[in-house]
Amino acid sequence: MKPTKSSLSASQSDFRIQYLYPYFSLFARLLLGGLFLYAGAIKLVDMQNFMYDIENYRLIPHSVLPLLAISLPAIEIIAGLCLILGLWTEGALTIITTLMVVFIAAITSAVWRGLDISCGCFGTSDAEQVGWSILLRDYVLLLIAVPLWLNKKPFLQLDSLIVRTKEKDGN
Amino acid sequence: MVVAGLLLGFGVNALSPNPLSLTYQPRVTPETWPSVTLEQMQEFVAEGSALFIDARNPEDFEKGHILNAINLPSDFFGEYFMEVGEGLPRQEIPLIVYCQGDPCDQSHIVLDHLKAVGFTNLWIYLGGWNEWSRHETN
Repeated sequence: MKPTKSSLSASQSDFRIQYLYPYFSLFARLLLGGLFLYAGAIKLVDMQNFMYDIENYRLIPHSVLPLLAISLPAIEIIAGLCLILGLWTEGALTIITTLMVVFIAAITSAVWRGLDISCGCFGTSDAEQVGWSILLRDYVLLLIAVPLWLNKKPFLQLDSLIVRTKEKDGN
Repeated sequence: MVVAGLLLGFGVNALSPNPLSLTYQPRVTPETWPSVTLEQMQEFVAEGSALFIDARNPEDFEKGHILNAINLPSDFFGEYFMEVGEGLPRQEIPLIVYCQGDPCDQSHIVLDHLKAVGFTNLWIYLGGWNEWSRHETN
């Protein structure tokens, strides 16, 4: 049976998905991981001001603020690093996606209430006020994470190296 | 991963020269500026006896501002001050700084800058553009 035009274009599309997807996936991992690593590091060196940035949102009780200001940047750093290296990738992706959803909810709430406050997304270096542009940026980042969820085939990840080592040890 | 994050966070905090206290300490406001109320603002505007500084970003200023206010955005203070700073009265009439409304920190930043370059008759309008524009539309 001769291949039809439509079956040819379908196979070309499969080819593109099969060969290009891993590179896009790597790009998304490096971008998201790098951003979280950078954002976490900036906040970790200035926890005091990060705490006041969170306080400005008026969503978190005062008693919890120091704990959050100490732990959140460090969790961002670990998750970002793991996503870049492809180590415990699924866990890192879960944490990063959850944090992005929480950030979007907090910023939406601040915009909704008309609060004129600094975003604090990248610590005190980020003097940008919360608004639609920041929300749009966060939604774009969230969109970049979606393909990572849809196809979890490992590519240049430490996870696959660990699995292979375990399999070898098993044999 | 969360446990590793907690260990890293608390480790860095413990080694920091200025560790963050685990009990919440309110922000120390370096300067408390004398403030004006909406009624006082209305008088100042009617008499033209004060100068108003809008500390918000230029885009917000363009959307609306108090009549005759000068835009000195906190994010670009140096750049804007170079253009309008020379013409501002140092102490003769009150300079009243406002931003969007409570809570906003841009007025405080601009007031700190103005004090640092020698201005003395400085005031803050805490109600800001939110309160003023509400009043204007009523």
